[in-house]
Amino acid sequence: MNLSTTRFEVLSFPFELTTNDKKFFNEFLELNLALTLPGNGKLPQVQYSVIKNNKYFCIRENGKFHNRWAHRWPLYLSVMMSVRDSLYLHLRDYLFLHSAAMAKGHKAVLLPGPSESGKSTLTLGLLNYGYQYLTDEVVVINPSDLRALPFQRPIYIYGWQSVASAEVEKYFKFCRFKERYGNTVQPWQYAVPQQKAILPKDTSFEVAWIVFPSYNKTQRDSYLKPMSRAAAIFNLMQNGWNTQYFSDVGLKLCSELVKKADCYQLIMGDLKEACELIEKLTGEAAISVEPEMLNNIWKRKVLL
Amino acid sequence: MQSLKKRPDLLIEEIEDEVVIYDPRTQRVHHLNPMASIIWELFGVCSCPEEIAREIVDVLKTDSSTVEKDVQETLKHLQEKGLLE
Repeated sequence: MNLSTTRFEVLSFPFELTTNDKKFFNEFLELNLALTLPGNGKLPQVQYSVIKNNKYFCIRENGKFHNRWAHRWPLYLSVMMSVRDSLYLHLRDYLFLHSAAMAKGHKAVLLPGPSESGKSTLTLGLLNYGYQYLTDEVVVINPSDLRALPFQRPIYIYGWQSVASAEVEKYFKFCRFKERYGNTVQPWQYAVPQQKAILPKDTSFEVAWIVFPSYNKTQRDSYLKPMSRAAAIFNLMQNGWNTQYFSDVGLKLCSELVKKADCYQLIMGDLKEACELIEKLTGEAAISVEPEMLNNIWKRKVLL
Repeated sequence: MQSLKKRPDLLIEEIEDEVVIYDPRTQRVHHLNPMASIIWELFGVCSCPEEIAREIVDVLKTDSSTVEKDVQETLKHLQEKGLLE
């Protein structure tokens, strides 16, 4: 059996991946180029093996069975979700929030919310408005200075429609693939940050705005509602991945973060309007974006 | 109510006129609106729900029956959430 092995770090936490599937190996590294750094000599704390047999790709974590898939594409997300979960569990140096984050200049806008609240949709929308991609899922806060660090994982998008302007396509590569669910085959794509979009290690951003998005199917427009700081702390804590590990500090950190930022609830009935509201909030000059692009993002709304 | 008190292990953040409470036992977070926050503050200082209601009515100059109902419901809610013991 020909095995390929790589050691990589995410937020300086060391992982190892071993597989007998060369295609998976190469594509995994390519997809996660922005998130991972080459191993820096540290012994891996978590080891993954992805071994293909006659029927399945079998994922093991530290030798223990984790998951199996009949096809290659679900593996990427499955392994990366496991990497993410390992970070929450083992890495106590950072506060992790279930949130998207985009930046303009040196300031970040956090978009915290549970699954299907519109984080990835807004992320894609704001990319078209010239915002710097930090993450669509995991905001990493450094407790010592309350700044947000990038977690530039690939954005997982349902459908093969075009979701990015020609300008955004200079910074992202769109990898299309099909995934089988029972008898149906579904089209998906990954938006993968390329070299020009990848932020150098140790880049961090002041959190200036915290906007909690939520879909409202019953309305056609979008609006921002100022949120009390207590409500913002509550919602931030609700969207904390690892606040329980910080004991009393978790609440304090969320509180300090909220005190330094302007907090809003964003009711989303229309993506263009939602993006423009954020643009106005962050004080940037309006950029003209093709409505068709935003419609393509909005119509699907099935993003993880 | 005399036998009830705020759990000492709760983590509390008072901000503006509201309160956020983190319960390390259940790892749940609670948000008290301004009225519930006042009731939370007065709980422990006052000896009974009626006294809490009287204090609020005195300060806010509002309808006493509504306040009494709010106090009773809030204390019941806090107890149900396990924040009082």
